[in-house]
Parts: sequence; structure tokens; C-alpha cells
Amino acid sequence: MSRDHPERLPPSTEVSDEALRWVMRLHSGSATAADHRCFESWRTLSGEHEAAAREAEALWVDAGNLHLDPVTGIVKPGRRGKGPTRRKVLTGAVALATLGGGVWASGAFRNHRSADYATGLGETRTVALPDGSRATLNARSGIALAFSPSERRIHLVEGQVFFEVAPDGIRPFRVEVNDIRATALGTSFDVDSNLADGAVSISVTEHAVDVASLSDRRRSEPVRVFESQAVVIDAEGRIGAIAAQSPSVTAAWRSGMYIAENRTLGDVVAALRSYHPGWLVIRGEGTAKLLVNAVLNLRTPDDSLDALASGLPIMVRRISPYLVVISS
Amino acid sequence: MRAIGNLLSEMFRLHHRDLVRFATRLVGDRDDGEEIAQDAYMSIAGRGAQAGAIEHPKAYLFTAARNAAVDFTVRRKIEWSYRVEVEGIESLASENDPLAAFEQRQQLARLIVALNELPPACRRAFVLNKIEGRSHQEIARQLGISVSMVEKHIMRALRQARDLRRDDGSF
Repeated sequence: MSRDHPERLPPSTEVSDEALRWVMRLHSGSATAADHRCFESWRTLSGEHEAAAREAEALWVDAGNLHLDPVTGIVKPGRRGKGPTRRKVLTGAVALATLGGGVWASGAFRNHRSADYATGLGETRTVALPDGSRATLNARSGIALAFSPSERRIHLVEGQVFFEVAPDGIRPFRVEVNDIRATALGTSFDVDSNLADGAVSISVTEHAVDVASLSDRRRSEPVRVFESQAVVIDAEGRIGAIAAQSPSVTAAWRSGMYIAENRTLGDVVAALRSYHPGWLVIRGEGTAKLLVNAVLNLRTPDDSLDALASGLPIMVRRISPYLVVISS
Repeated sequence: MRAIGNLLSEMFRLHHRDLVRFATRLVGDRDDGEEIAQDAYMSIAGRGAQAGAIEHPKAYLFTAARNAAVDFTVRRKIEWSYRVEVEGIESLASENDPLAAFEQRQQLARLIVALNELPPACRRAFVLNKIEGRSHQEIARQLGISVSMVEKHIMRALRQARDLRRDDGSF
């Protein structure tokens, strides 16, 4: 960042210090759900606060890419192996720290549930679950497990996760997000809560999944979604029509790509948010509803935004390294 | 205004030992520290007449050394290849976008140099929390200090990392 452009100056030291103090507190090992809520409302105070929060979070995530050299006692690039010393309690805090305020407002996490597995900005990870199933977390995603002798229940706390389910004749495998419940019928599928307007999509790449929405009064029976199909459930819990979606499109994000086939700009930008250290804002009537057909690189979100700008009637303005405004 | 040669020799005479000690702390090796000190003198020499007007030669010299340490860390291949093996920053950057990869490296190198510049206890507290996932209470117990001291250490580390992250290396 250049000092010659005052409009690109980062947040003030005062606000930034507050953001750093929040990040420190949320990773202290004794942060409460109330602390997380406070931070979420603090960051909405202004664009500067949000930018400071993003900067502090990006700093925290970057710091995961180093280790202490035991010989010299100094910090060097690169991670040590994922030793058992890395505690779940703190990685869980990362997921909660990045939760949107709207999720809290929905009351979905009033029971102080935190993520057992979580990823940060631009980070994806595959984890083996205790039953032998596998979960691949997209960036800024988190899941909490509630396994019991009668069922394998997983809460999608945030983000997008691909599940490969190990067969178990006794305990059904269920993924819950908001009031939506997806029950696997021996299968692999993807649950994405990174859509615009709080919608959730469930895409099946093998066999089938039963999707039920507790808040959809029109349907008492679950909807069965088969391989190469996807369904979108809107923020009110209404289950949409089943649409064809190729498994390669569903799988693309796991290779760092995003394939938009008639997706809205709002959904595309929502997907890029988990990879962009700044705050991406969409402005202007109808901008978020523009339809996009593109193949984008999630690892280089800024280039992807520029690629979108070259093919759509939109303008991408970088107000600061932490604030990008997309408008018609 | 002094001639650049005089300035450099004065810097060398007054501050060389401290400079090498400082640079060694940033990169962990005495030979590398010497190299960085040389790089710092070179960068000041490269500024020619401009350098003659500086008011605080010592601060200027140490800033030059810090920048040289960042560049050195970015350049040092061995550690970065270790990094690639493990997973991480390199894979975050598109392989066909060397500029983005370089910028990410630069960012992480700044973070590393910022942390190494801190007193060892401060750095240790930060690493125990961030990398080893210890709670503030556990760190307090392990280092024999109060929880509020742990928090002071971590805040100092975060602030220092933030400041150097924002610094574009010019001076």
C-alpha cells in the first residue's frame, strides 16, 4: 500500500488495536459465545471497523504458516506437522470468530455450540470423522459433531463442506444447518451455506440424500435428491426445485476452482468471500442478480473479480486493501 | 550534510556490533546476520546523497537491516521448499501467478521478522498460543507469569506484526 493515496490508508491504529484485542480475546481459550457476539456487532460499527477486523483475522491466519525453530528459538516459515498439541478448542474459536452476525441473530447457536473442525481464510482441509466418514471443509467453514449410539449428527456451523459417508446400517448420517436436515442414504454430498441471501444448497455426487426443512410448511415429507442433482433451500426454509448439477461442478471448489453455470453474481461473490481477506460489498439495484457463467480461480480472488468485471456490466473498485465495492 | 562514505564509516564504527546482533536475532544465524548487515549498508549507499540528510542514522540503519532481513527471508529457498512440502502459503498462490506468490511470501516474511524482533518471552507466548494452541492460562502457568502479562505479550506481538505488515519497506 502506498502512502501517496490517503483513501487507501488502512484503519486507524486505535480501531486496529481494538480489533487485535478482540482476536486475542477470542483465542484466549476462555472466550464465551457472548464475546463472539460482541465482536460480531463491534465489527458492524463502520467500514473501518470491519476492515480492521478483517485485517486482524488475516494476520492471525497468516501466523499459522510459521513455526518456532527449536535450535535457534526464532520463528521460521512453514508449519510443523499437525501435532497433537494443536487443540481443537482454539481452532473452533476461529470458526466462531468469523461467523456472520446474521447467523447469531437467527438464534441457531444459542446453545453455545462451537465447531469441532474449522478452517480459516483461504484454507481447505479434509478431516477423518470418528465413524470413518470424511469431511472436506471449504475456506472459512466449521462443523460440530453430535454423534450418539442412534445417529451421526453434524451441524454445519458455517461455510461449505463435502461429506463422504461411511456406511453404517444402524446410525443414520445427518447434516443440519439452520432448520434444514440432510440425511445421507449411503452417499457423498456437498452442503453449502455460502450462498447469497442466507440460502443453502445441497448437491449430491453419489447415491441420494433426503432433504427436510422444518420450516417449510408446504412439505411434510422430505425431498429426495439423487446423484448429479442439487437443491437450494432459501432463508425462509422453502425447498426449491431439484436441478441437474454435474458432480464435477460440485467438486470444483476442492480443486480451488469455482464453476458458475447460470449462477447469480451474489452467489459467486459469496463463494469468493471465503478466500478474500477484504470485505466484498455489492452495490446497486440488480447487481447481485446478474447471471454469471464463468470458471474462476478461488485462490486468486482479486484476479477472479477482475475477470468478472471484464465480462459483466460491473465495476470493481478497491477502496482499500480491505474493502472492495462491486457495482453496476 | 555529510558525504555518504563518512556516514557509512561512522555507522559501522558506532553500531556495527549491535547491528549484527539485531540482524542475527531476525534470521537466527550469525553468518546470515553479517550478510544482512552488509545488505543494510549497501541499501543506504545505494541511496547516495539522499542518505546524507538523515537525522537519526542509527534508527535508519536498523530499519534498513529489518528490510534486508525481510528480503533475505523471502529469498531463502531452503525454508520455503520445506514449507511447500508441508502445505500452505505456496499452494495458496496460483502457480502461474508468480507475483501473487511473491507478495504472499513477502507478507509472511514480514510477519516472521516482526515476531523475531520481539523479546523471546513475548515471541514464546505468541507461538504457544497461536501455533501450539495453548490457552492464556496454560501459557501463564508454563512461563510463570500472570495472565495479564501473557495478554500484554500477545498484543505486543500482534501490534508489531500489524505494523510491519502495513509497512511497504520504504523509508
